[in-house]
Amino acid sequence: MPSLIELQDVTRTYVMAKETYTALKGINLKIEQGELVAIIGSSGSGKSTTMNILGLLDHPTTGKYFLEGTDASSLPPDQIADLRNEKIGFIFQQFFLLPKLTALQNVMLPLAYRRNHPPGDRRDQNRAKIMLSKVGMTKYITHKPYELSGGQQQRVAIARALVGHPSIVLADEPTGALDTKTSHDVLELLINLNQEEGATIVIITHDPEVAQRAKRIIRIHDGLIA
Amino acid sequence: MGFLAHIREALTNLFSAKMRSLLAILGILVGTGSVVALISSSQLATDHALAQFKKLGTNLLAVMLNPQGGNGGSSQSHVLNLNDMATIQQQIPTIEKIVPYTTLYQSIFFQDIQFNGQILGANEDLADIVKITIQKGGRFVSFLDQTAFFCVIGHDIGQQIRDKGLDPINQQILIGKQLFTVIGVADEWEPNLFLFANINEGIIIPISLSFLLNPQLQIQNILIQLQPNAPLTPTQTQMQTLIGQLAPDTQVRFHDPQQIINVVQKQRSTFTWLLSAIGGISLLVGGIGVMNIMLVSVIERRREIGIRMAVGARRKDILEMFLIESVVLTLAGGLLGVMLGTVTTLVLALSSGWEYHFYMVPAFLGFIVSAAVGVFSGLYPSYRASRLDPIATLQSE
Repeated sequence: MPSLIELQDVTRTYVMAKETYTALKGINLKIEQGELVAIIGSSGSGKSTTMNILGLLDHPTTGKYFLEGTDASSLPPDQIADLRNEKIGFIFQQFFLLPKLTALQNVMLPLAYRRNHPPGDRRDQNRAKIMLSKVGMTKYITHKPYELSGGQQQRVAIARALVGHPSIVLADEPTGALDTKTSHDVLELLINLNQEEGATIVIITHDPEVAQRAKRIIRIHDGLIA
Repeated sequence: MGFLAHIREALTNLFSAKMRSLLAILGILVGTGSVVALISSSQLATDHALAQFKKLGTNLLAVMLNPQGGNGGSSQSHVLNLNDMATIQQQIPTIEKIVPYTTLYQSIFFQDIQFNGQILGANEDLADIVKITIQKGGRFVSFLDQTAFFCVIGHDIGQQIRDKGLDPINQQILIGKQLFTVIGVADEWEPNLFLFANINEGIIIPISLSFLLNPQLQIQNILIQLQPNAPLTPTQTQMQTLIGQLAPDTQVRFHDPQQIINVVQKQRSTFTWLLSAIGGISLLVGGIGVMNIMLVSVIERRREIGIRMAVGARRKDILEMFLIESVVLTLAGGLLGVMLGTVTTLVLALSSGWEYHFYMVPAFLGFIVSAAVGVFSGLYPSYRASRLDPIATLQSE
């Protein structure tokens, strides 16, 4: 049984106007089904690059990335997009909800891009509604993002990340834009989803307190796992 | 993502930037509107001309004679006279009526008023064929008036005599050195493509008298009415041969209705192409405007593009999204343009006295072209959007 995620000797080098910059210098990492992992590191350490590679938004310069046993580092763009849709859920620091859509429509968005998914607005709506109720947002399904507080927006974003039953949820500084109380609530929600729903969650953070709540902490320093 | 969902999103996006959308489609609106209006109204104008023409009947034939044609001509050669006309009618059974007429210019006076009109030598058959009607109390010059100095005056001349407070009937008009008595005033006459004269400003005298006014005068025009359903071409051939025998030096040219219709239609198609080209240029300019707006929209919505890519949109999905938005935009412009063009045509038709018809083809063409402009101007911005790097767009402010 292969690991859910496996990075083998992953490096990432950026070429910018003749200068090269190596963000990752050889990362080896395995994440198993059902884990709650925190990746920590200071800014510029390479943790965001790691997250981008794990989320298939970026690709390794050298090395391999296996997602559920398939080599994802050498797939064409369309298949990468499909993998992102089916296997990965993103939670961002800035929530990144679409401003013109309601909470419900935002949560339904990943289902709209799903391949081999028989169109059924009603069924997708039900799935999205169930997800919104799990994050405690049932009362706000017709609200637009600007009508919601930061914590509420992040809850909607969490529902969006989970609605497609992804293999892994990647949360990039999920509490970074929230006050202490709301941070705490959102973190509890993520931990709860990990424990109750069995969602595999990777939290990228520079906040040691957030990291403390994870079952496993991975430190990245200067492009390497410390 | 479903097609309908795409259209719904496109509408949402376009409505949330109403002013900009409206400005963007202005060029398309004007372009489509002018194409529709110009093509429709030129069609209406042509139909109007053809309808007028068809009123006269399609069994007419105009014959032009050039007595000095042929082999250089000579003064001794025979020119066609009124007796020859009777011969032609006898020999060619498909001819129902043969109506020669002559035209000449002489000074025309009524008391102290001088008129500058044309003098036509004809008989009552001409009135019948080219639909000249006579006002109440008068009659047309007749075949029987061969030696009577009678004349029929055009509508405008009659009006001028009335302006002096006189009844035109039985007034004396001096044509050249001869006095003619007015026996009828023509109603206002609509010009047509068969008779190369303006009856409204002219005077009609018996054809035999026209030779008296000018002894050198020759018959240069004949109008022929064929029997109903008589074939046109054989009649033309027969006439050609017969005239060749009667007056060998005379050159004959025919003008038949189909020929005239063809000329009108050919003119129209040239006109239509020209107008389409003008409309095309405004659509091109409008298309560039839409492209510009779409490029701005792509830049503004970078983050949205990144989010959609992060949740699994393929490049094709992003491309489709912007392309559909662009087409919806130009189609909206096209719809408004077709409406504008139709209203313009209606106003034009009402003010020109044409009978109004709604033509499907220009309207349909307007839609097709505006959609095509949408695809054309949306393609590059949409391609740019689909090629954006999700990381860069998510980091952008």
